[in-house]
Parts: sequence; structure tokens; C-alpha cells
Amino acid sequence: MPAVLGVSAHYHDAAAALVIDGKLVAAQQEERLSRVKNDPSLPMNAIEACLTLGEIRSTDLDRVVFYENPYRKLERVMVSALRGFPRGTAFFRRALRSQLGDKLWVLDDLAAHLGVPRKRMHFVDHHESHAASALFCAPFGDVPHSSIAALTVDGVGEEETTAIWRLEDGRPRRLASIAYPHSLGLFYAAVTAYCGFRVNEGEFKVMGLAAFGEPRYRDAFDHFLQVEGGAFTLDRAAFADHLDGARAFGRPFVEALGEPRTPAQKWNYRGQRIQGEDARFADVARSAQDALEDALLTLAEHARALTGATHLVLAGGVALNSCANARLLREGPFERVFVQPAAGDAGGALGAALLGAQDEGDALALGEPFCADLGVPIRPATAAAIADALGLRTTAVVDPNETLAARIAGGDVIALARGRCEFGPRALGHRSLLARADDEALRDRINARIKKREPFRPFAPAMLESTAPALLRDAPNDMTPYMTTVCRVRDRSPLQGTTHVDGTARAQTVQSGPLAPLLRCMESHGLHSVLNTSLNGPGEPLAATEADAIDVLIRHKPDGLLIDDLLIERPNR
Amino acid sequence: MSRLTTLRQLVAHFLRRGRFFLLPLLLVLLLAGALLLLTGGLSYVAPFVYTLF
Amino acid sequence: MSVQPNAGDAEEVSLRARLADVFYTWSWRLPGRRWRRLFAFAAAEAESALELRYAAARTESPERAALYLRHAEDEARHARILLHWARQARGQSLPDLPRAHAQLFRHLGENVFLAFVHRGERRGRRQFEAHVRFFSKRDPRLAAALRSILADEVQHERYTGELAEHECRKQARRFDVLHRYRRAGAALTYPLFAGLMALLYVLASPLSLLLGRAPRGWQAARRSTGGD
Repeated sequence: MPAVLGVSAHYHDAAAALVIDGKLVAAQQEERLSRVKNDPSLPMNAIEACLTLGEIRSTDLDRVVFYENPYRKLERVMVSALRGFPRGTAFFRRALRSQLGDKLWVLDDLAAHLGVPRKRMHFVDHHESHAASALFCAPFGDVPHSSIAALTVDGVGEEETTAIWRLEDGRPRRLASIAYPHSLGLFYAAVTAYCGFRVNEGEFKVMGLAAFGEPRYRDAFDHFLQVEGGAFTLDRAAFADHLDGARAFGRPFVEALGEPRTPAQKWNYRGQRIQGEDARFADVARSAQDALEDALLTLAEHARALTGATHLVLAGGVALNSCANARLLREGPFERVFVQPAAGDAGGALGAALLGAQDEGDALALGEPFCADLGVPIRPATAAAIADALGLRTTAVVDPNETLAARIAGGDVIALARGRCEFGPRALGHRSLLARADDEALRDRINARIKKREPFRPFAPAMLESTAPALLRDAPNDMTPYMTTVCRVRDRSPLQGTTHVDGTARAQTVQSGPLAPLLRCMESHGLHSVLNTSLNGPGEPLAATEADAIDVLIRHKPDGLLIDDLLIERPNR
Repeated sequence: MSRLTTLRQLVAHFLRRGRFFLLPLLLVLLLAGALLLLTGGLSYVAPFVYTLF
Repeated sequence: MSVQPNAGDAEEVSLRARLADVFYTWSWRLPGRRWRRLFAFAAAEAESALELRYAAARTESPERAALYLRHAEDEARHARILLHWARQARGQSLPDLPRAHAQLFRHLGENVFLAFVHRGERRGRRQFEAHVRFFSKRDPRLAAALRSILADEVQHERYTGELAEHECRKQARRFDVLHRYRRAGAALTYPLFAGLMALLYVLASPLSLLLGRAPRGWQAARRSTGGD
């Protein structure tokens, strides 16, 4: 019974994944348990949780696989710092401190913490982990391997920032790659920092902001990001990731686009429009998003030419750009496109574990639909006891779905926690905040009072797959169950609170899982969808445990929290 | 002993890649890394402790 | 030592408090010190909030989970108050608060964790008493804000003191000393390390001539480099 643990750590969004007998039994992001958003630290809490869920001890592990090669990484850091002489002094100091302080020793640290012999510690390449996480989790069971290509695109792995893959003898094989410093992830990170958001976190915000703008700065971005010969290059003078990862853009950005936005300033947003000076940042975001999408389309065409495949899977942080994914499917050369929900670094743990299982001789079950509820479970009895101790009101409801549907239909915002926590950044109904999807005022209330986030950011609707064609112009596809793409909304669809200003929505289509019975109940209230956003407050990771969910209730004040059949409410409501 | 395995693999990697000329730099860097590890130079979190200065 | 929420106004103060007053009277006046220290306080509060939320999710006791959640809520509020005053003192925006914590609950176990938190709260309460005394005449609004934090610290000190088992206090003290050593180690080592790295960077710079330029465009595939 081979048991293999995959681990990603030390950059952003650390995670662990456990495969037993070739079957993925658990995957957990560290941030959900440590309560530190995008926690990069060695994911010991996540590892413990995976072992508990797999009902094994750490000493039972046959193989532990780290998601990247620490030696190649150190080499690349040294080489790029030297190439950047003399401007990289601060980068050299900072990067070497973290490399030598902990990153280089990650396999030793894992062995020591787990009590597992060092010889059971292995590593795979960063982009290979990404490729495996996409190829092995794609729902393309009916498709020959030769028809599936993978494109991995992120900030930077060891040296690669982009790679094209296909399955050969059941194993991902890299066909071509683009090396650092030419990187679409770092390109988008620079735009994120320029717009005043935190790098590796605010990229979603740039994507949302883009819908409000015009591509007025496209010429500048075509200079910063040049596409030719099926590949792209960055004008390195415009980027500063090698000097300051948090700032990421260079002087040419300021010369071409104006002064960057001051972080955390209030947005000038009124009547679904971004106004004044902030309109410039919307235009910048639009121009950058267009440039990114065009570059991705070029890469996809190159991947098609290289592999002859008809199906594409994507992974790496850039694959979380749901607008770009929609365009790839609509305009790209592939019949089907799939992005699994943990496409970022957390998913690297998943890929590493699956590759390790193959090395242990396990046959992986490929082509099955991917189930994202891989994390820690939630227990109503524990939640009830904590709620009682806090003086909250608890009620055991007879028909939770009907109760939830009625409350939502009545205009309440209800937190829902059911079963095991999702893996990946999207709440898919296991740890969600739910509300009516057709109410713009409610959307603004959730943005302002509960999520306390930028007013322009949209929310997503969830709907039964069978009702989706009536609400959306785009048909449900391989990505819609995981919210890794967007769909165009039909005119006059009752999705006013969840349709972005450009007429799209990051719709989740549901066939099964925790939202399916709720959505069926909502039909009897005349509602065909529900606003579904993550169960967390501003700057916080998704709630995982009972205490986290209750913490959201008492601090951010949704109208109630439903855990299985237990309804918890604040007493003074 | 475990760290010796890492050191061996690290040197093997640089030799395999033909980056011999980086090895002296690597050696000095590793000594600096040892300094960091021994002095707790990576510990900078401080819950429940208010700074005096 | 009795615990007075309004201790800043107390007429009689201990020798320890007098020494603290002398120290802070000098140190609050250092240029740029006010916003930096208030910001550092906010960072400590924000980290403590994370530690407590983490503890709430891990404890086996629902009653303690409830106490930790309330405590975390207080700490997060304190961080907001202190950030506000730090921003006022600086007159411009502040850097991001660090987002990490030491996961003390996991490393120490619940009982030693409680004893450690109790020590921290007691020390914090004493410091805040001195800060309130310092500002009560010089900046009454800031003093009032600090006093509101002090009142919570007194309550936190009390409940953690009640829960912390006596025999764990020694272990907490030992950890506290180690914690301080590591902080001091970091503070002393880093400049040394930074200087060494800067020197090394300059000395190694000729190597860049041997490296050549970074490749552009698509590169043909190489073998995967995974291993053990």
C-alpha cells in the first residue's frame, strides 16, 4: 500500500497532498490551518491534516516528494543575481538569506519533522509538478493521451517560466520551455504592483479591474511584452522583480503609464464606473490583460503546432486568470480546455504526490472528474459547543436546504460549511458565503460590510448545470464546475448581482456536491442561481475548521452560519 | 548527517551543470548560511512581545 | 502587584514602573520613534491575533476556543487602533503588517502556550501602563486609546493566568528567554550577514562575465531533473 506525500512550500501558498494506492485521498493548503493568507512556510499543519485524513502515520510514508528542485533554484538565484550586477545587491542579500536559511534544506527539514529517513525524500521539477497536476486531474478519460497537451505558465519555477508538455508512457514529457527572466507571471505581477495591489495576491483584482477600462496603453505593453515566433520576451528594463519582488515594475512603467497607484487608497467608484484618476488604472489593467491574453493565445497555438493535440490543460499561477482561460477556449485552437482549481503553487503538491505515486509503481486512475473537497472536514457538534460558549444562538434545522433557500430568497447572506474544505482558491460550496444572485444592492453590501474589499470586484453565481444554458450564452465546459473560467451572461438573466460590468460571470455549474440540493430547493422560490463567494474576511484565508467559520460569523457578521443541519446566529440579530 | 546528503547533492548538481566557477562562491555562501542558522538569524516573528525600542 | 485598568493615573507607582517611566520618557522622544514603535506594537498585536485564531482552531476545548476567538478579536482591534495612531504620527501611509506567526500552540502545547501568553500579556500591561502615564498629559487622546487597550490586556492577563498551569510557567519562561535570544540574534546577525553578502556580491561580480546572457524564446526540451 504505497503512501506518497507531495509538498509545496517556501514561495507562496504552501500545501500538502497525500496519495495512497494511486488514489488522491487528501490535499490541504497550509494557509487554511495556519490562518496566514498564502502562507508559504513548511506546511506541517497541512501535512498532519493529510495524514489524519489518510489514517496513516508519517513513518508509514513510502515517499515524500517536494514540488521543485532546490539545487536548480539556488543556482538560478545566484546566476540571475550575478547577471544583474551591480543593481541586485539587495536582491542578492535577501534571496540568499532565504535560500540558505531554509529553502536549500527543505528535504532535511521535512525528514526531521516527519521522522522519515532522508532517503525517502525526493523532488521533481517545479513545472513538471504543475504539468502533472493538470494532466493527471483532467476529465479527459475518453481521449487518447496523444491528443492532450499541457501548458504550464507561472512566475518562475527553477529556471522555466513556461513549458509545453504531453503525456508519454503515462508520464509528462517536456517538449519546450521559456526561461527566466521572460515570464508572463512576473509581467502580471508588475502590473499588480503598479495598480497598488500586493503581488501574488492582487492579480485577481487586476483582472476584475480590467473590465472597466479601455486598452489605451496597449502600445506600451506591446513594448514591455513582445510576442514573436510563438514565444514572448519581456523588456527587462521595465521590470524590477530581480531587484524588489514587492514592487516588480521598473522606471519605464512610470514613464509610459504615469505614477503608480498608492496602495490601500479608496477607489473612486460610483454607479458601476471607475472615475477620475483611478480610470487610468482600469485602462492599464485592460491593456495588460489584453496583452497577456494575446500572449497566451500565441503560446497555445505553438503548443498545438508542437503536439498536434486537440485538448489542452493549463497550470501555474497564470492559469488562474479565468478571463484568459475563457478566451483560450473560445478563440484558441483546442476543442476542450481544462484548468484544475488549484492551478497555482498549492497544486504543485498535488502533482508532486501523483508523480511520486507513479515512481512507486502505482497505476493512477486518469480521466476521472476532479473532486476538490480534499481538505479537513467540519463537525457540527464541535461548532455547536463553541457557539454555546460564545453565547451564540444555535438551532437544529429539519430541512437545511429548504431553510437555507428560504433565508437566501428572503435577502439574507448565509455562510455555509459542509463536508471537507476545498483545495484551491475558489469556494465551491463547502466553505461559502451565499446570497441572492440577482440583487445588486446585496452585492454592494457584501463587498462593503462583510468582505470589506474593493467596490468594483464582482461575485460569482452558482447554478445547476441543467439551468446554465438559460442563463449563460456560453455552454458549460470542463472548467465551469471549478470556476476557473468566465461565461458571457444572457441579456436579462436574473444575475444582476453576479454579472461583471463586461457582461461576464465566473459561473459555477453544479451537477453534484453541496450546492446541488440547495439549488434545487431554490427553484421552488423562483430562483435559479445563488451568489457564491468564499467564507472569509478581508485578507484572510478561507475558513477551514469550526472555529474559523464561527470567527467569520462573529467578526464579519453574515446573517447566519449553517454547518450541516446546525444553524448558528448572533444573539442580537 | 541529513544535511551532508543535501550538500553532496548540491555540489553534484553544480558539477553536473558545468558551473565549476560558482563553487567557491557557493562555499562562502554556505558558511554565511551556517552563521544564520546558528544565531537564529531567521527568527523574526514576535507574538505577544512589544518592542522596547 | 495589583492590576489597575486606570493605572496610568495611579499616584503610587513601583520602582520598576519609575524606571520604565525614565526609560520611555527618553525613548518616546527619539526622532521617528513614535510611529515606528506604534507600528511595531500593531504588528505584535496582529501576530498575536493570528496565534490566537490558530489556537482556537486547534484546542480540544470549545470553551477555550471561544476565549481564544474573543481574545483574537481584541488583538485585531488593538492592531487597528495602533495602526491608526502610527499613521497619524507618521503623516503618511505605512508598510504592510507582517503576516506570519510562530505557531506557538503547536510548538509549546496548550498549557505552556497559555503560560507564555500570560507572561506576554503581563509584560504588555506593564509597558502600556508606562505609556499611558507618559502620554496622559502630552497627548490625552493617544493616552485614552492606549488605556482602552490596557483594559483588555488586564482581562487577557487574568484569564490566561487562571488557565495556565503553574508548573508550565517555568517552561514558558525558558521559551521566552530563547525567544528573546533568537530575536537578539536576528537583530545582531542580519547587519553582519548583509555586509558580508554585499562584499561577496562585489567580489563575485566578475563571474557574471562567464555566465553569458539569459536565453530568449523557446528552448528545446531537457531531461527532467528530479531526484532524491
